[in-house]
Amino acid sequence: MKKLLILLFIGFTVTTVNAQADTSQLNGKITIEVDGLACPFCAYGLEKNLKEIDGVENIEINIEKGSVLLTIAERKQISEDLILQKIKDAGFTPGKIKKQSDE
Amino acid sequence: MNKSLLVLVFSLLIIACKEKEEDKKWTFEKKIELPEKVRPLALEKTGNDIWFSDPEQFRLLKVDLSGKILDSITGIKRPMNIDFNQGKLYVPEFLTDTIWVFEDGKKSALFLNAEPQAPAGLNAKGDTIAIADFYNHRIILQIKGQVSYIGKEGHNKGELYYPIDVKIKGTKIYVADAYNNRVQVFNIDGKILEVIGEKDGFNVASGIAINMDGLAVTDQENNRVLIYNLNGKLQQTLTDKINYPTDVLFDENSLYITNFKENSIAVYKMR
Repeated sequence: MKKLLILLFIGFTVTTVNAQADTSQLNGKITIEVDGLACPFCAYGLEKNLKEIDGVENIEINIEKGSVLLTIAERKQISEDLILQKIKDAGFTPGKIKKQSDE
Repeated sequence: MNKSLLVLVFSLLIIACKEKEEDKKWTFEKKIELPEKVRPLALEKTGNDIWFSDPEQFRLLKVDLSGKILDSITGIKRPMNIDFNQGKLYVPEFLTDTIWVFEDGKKSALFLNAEPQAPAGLNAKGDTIAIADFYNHRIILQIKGQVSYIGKEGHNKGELYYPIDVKIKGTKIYVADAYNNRVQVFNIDGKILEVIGEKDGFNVASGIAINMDGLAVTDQENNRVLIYNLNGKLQQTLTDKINYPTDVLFDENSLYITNFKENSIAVYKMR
């Protein structure tokens, strides 16, 4: 009985972790707000970093608004963590990430 | 007595001329208006015309001094700080880490014994080329195919943080140490010689131009261009009709400044 409870607990934990991982997967069109994007050298640097992600189909940098519109290829998913890391690698602090469906 | 008078008159004339020379300042002359969607980032003068990079539209445009478009080069993935030397137009392509060379209508990739990561600016002088290697925080110096590096990431004297532009003058290398908000001067062995503008309130020092008298540096986020003499002493601060300057160019009695946030190039004259 004790073993069964442990197995049940492990199973529940794994399911929860997977469910959390699923929620951080992004697809479709994503808008990312980034502070300091007004500088063209930085904005294009961010573009360069995001282009390296497998599954990114298109990037539109809006220097005036300080935002990036990311189009993820059909049937592809990209983890939010990876996107956030690429933004940090480019020297930025990431702001809000919005899915097109959220807007 | 006559001789003494002559000497006195000549001395006064020389002093007057010198004072007049020192009184000369850069003064706003006009704007070269460009087509509406153009965002000029960097420019070079070729004869009477100007080539400039327009990275927003993935292209370079050539205009005359009235802003009329004469020529274009398209399909460059974010062309940055360009250079023109001995009939060759050098274009760093930011997204592909390539330096393109355009000569007599032909395009070729510059052979480089180094791997830049986001080349932001460059300067070619004969067999020597210096490249601002933005994401590696260094300058690549290639002399007759031999490569050496100047600077490393950091904020101390001699270290660089996102360099954007570079100029070679004699045996000195002037670096727009953009996000350290200063200009640093090195010798070709990479030894730091001088720091310029550190206390002048820069917020992104992105473009440099050098002439016989000194240098001009763009203060991108503060909408200013600062003029220094060759000893690094501030001579003048330009703000009139300057809107997000990313590059600057001396041409005899004129100074050209790119207004990246609008479709224009500001022209100043020495008066």
